Amino acid sequence: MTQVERFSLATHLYVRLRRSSGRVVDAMWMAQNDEYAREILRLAASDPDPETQNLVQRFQALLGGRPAPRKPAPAAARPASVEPDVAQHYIGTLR
Amino acid sequence: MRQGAGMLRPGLAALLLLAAGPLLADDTPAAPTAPFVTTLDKINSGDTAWMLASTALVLLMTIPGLALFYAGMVRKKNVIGTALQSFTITCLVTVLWVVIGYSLAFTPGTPWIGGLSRVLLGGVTFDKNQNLISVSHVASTIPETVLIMFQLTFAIITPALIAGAFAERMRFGAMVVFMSLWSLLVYAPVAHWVWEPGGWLAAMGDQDFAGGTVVHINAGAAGIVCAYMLGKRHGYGREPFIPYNLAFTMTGAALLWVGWFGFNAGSATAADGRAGMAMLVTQLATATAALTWMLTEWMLRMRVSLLGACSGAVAGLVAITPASGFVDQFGALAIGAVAGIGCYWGATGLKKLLGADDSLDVFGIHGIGGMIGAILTGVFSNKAISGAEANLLTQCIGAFATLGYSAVMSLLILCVVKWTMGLRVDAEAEFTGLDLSQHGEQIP
Repeated sequence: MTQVERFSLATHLYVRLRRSSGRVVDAMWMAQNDEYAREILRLAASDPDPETQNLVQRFQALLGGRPAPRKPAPAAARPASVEPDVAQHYIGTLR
Repeated sequence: MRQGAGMLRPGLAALLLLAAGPLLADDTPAAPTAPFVTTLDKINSGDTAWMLASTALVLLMTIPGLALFYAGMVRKKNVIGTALQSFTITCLVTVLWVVIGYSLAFTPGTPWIGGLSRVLLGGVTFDKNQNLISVSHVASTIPETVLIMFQLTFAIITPALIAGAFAERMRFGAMVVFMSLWSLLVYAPVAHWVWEPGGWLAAMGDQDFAGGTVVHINAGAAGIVCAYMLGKRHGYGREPFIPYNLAFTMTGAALLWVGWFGFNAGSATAADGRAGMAMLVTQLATATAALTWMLTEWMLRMRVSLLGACSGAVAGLVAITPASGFVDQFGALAIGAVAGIGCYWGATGLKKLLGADDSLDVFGIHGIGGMIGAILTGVFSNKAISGAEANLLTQCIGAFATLGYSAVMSLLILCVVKWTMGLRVDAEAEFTGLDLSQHGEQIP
């Protein structure tokens, strides 16, 4: 699941960085290449946006080989995370 | 003299018969074969009122019914774009229908396509001063304007259904061009084949009361071709694609269900017993299909899902569509049951087999459901209701001819659009989501 998480975090960072600084990153390459990922994380660390910082920390944890820490959802801000077996159902199929 | 008079009598009788011939002949006028002008008193206000209401119901099926149904099933980043597709198609097809679509579909011409006599609705008449109004030969108790509107709503929802197959990856401009060409080159001809009395399928006796072939098989075939041509979404089969809000989907499904009474019962083009029967069998088949889908899901997955219940209901609605004016309650039960199981397989097992990313299962539900309904119409059609014998072979010809024509023409149109402007958004835009990348809007 780590690779899946890396890809997910990379795409989120892509959106955040594009919105905040106009920077376009290669999310697919970031998910595959550690060196590229570290460089992007170094640049993203200078972004003051708290959500970007959270994504950077989680990605760094994955690069360190540890599971990404789960940030508790703030009240009424983010939607609840999807249960793993629910998410599993929607891989390759809708119904 | 008497002998002479006797010899003259046969000749005189013959002469008299010859003179009286026209008076004795059958003076029933031939059925009209084209739209015509009549007087206002020929319009049935009950039929017209029902058809006006049906038109509104069917339009509600697309906006917001289908818009919500589809938008609830895609990922959050594509909800706005998906809903906008239904809205845009509504506007686009409205104009095209008035300009030329109606004429191509619903005027006599050849068995393959209509004529141009109603381009820009030329000849459509409502003149209160002279007490004149035009009516269509296919529905002569209602104003032609009402039939134009009613059929417009069918022309709208058919391409809107296709959008579910390429959800989350088609360029907006390419979608607009594709739908424009498709509605004129595919929808209008097939509608002409089936619903214009001179159309080749209608002349053969193909029974399609409300659009099993014209709408559902047509859209389903185009949908699967679109899915193949556009290719799979990035991450398909590896990442979960979580539906944004299945409560939207249920709301949309409910609007589709209720609106479908206009779709099926309205296809009687009259407020009469046939409309009543069509409404009843529609409700029965839908409920049966939903229950059958839920039962199938329960047996295979040990649970019943909201999406499954909604999908089963839509499967039943699709399958009963061609049969709704021809079958009774027994036919409805049977069609609903088969559709519930058949479309479940269409959206699961068959989908895996076909290997295409048909995002929202357009072929699995509308294509397969339409085939089931069209063919079973040949089995369950009741002459006491329909007024004509159904033929299973004719039904199969109609179903497969539509499937083939829609698939081939859709492929050609997609090729033209692909070579001229491209079909698919780039990977970046797909990652970002169509809402932001295509429309600059976002659900936070």
